[in-house]
Amino acid sequence: MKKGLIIVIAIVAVIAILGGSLVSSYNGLVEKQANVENADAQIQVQLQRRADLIPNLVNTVKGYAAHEEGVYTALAEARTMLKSASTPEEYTDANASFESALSRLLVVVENYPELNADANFIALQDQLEGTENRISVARKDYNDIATEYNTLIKKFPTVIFAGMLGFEKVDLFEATEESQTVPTVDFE
Amino acid sequence: MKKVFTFVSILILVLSLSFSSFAINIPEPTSDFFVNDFADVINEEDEQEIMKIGADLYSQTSAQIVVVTVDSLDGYEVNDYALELGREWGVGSKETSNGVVLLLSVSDREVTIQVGYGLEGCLTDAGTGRILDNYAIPYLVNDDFSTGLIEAYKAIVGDVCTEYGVELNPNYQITYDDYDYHYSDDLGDSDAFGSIVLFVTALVLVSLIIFINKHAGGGSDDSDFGGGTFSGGRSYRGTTFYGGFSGGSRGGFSGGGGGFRGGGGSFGGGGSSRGF
Repeated sequence: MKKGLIIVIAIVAVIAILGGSLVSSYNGLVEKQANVENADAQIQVQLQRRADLIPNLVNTVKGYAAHEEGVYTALAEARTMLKSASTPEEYTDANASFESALSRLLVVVENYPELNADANFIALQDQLEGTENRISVARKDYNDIATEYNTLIKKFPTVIFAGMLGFEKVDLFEATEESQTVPTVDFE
Repeated sequence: MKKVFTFVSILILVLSLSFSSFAINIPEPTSDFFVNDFADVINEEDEQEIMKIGADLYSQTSAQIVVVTVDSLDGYEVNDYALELGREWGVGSKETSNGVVLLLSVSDREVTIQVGYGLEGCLTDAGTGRILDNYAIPYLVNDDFSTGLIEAYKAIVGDVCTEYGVELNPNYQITYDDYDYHYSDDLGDSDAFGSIVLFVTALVLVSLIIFINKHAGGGSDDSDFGGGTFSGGRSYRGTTFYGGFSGGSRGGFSGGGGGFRGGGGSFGGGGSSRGF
């Protein structure tokens, strides 16, 4: 009789623990998911910031290199694409062509030594470099937070109900070879 | 019963696991905090001047501007190194992230200013680039690291003073109160508390289960420990899970016996760097 009671108590205790863990795990997951979304938004903010720097940069470069029209057109088009992108895929595509156009601009810049001495250009270059840093930091932070989230939903006991409650694995940002090397703003 | 014991033990173990990672091996800050001359290139006089300015600014605004010199960046990019350092040390206050890291690597011949989120408005990327070009680089190219750093430091402080609308006192004396001021906004306590609660609750729970296990196995036991088991379960649910899931917490700062420490500020990559 007493033994039965103990078993019942033990079972109830375990259920209480599991029930408690369900509630707090769920809350934890919601929190982590919000963090992931926030980190993703941070990346978008910085990408936007970079796109917004471009018109000024182009105007400054134009002052020294007026006849490089092709590069400016490509940049302007990519920027428009970036601004009007609505789906993540469109966004990724637009960003890729934007980065490639930006790298072309920076190659052009190398041919104009006077440009590199222009105070306005130096300031823009710093802003661009700072923004590139922010983008890479934002991507790294996103990956850290997303990894934490992805690990959490796979951990026991969360794994039992994470899928049922609609918590799905999020993709990490993979550094493509292009995004690691482009655009470089280091002029030797 | 053995199974229950094993199951619950594994559960506790799994939930206790947390992870954090800093890829770069960042040195611990000195107790001076505002000056961390690991490469030993700043002369004594300039160090004291920087300490005075830094402590004065800090006491007036809570902004923390730190100078760090290292022999080498261990292959890391100068911006990444300074950013990681600023985050790990928690330069600037937790609320406003008003910290700045001025980092020089002697062997890499690189210098950077990394700006905390809260000061990105007054120290723009272009602004920090100008500070480096105008105040630091002219001295750094001639290996006068001490002058280059203090000049850049003063320029940064000047911009921050303008932002906060304060003026520094040229005769400022660092007093014991500065240290107290620093210690008043301690952080990381709740995390430490959470870990202790987790540990103690886990211990109590495990002991309870062992206890139950033993008595159930023996067949004869006392009748009045049902309530105890329940309250164990409840307290576990109420507190420890939050401790277990509060991952990503910043580790405590080991400031040592006395001195200044970081306030928990964070960085997002704003700032500029130069090779020289």
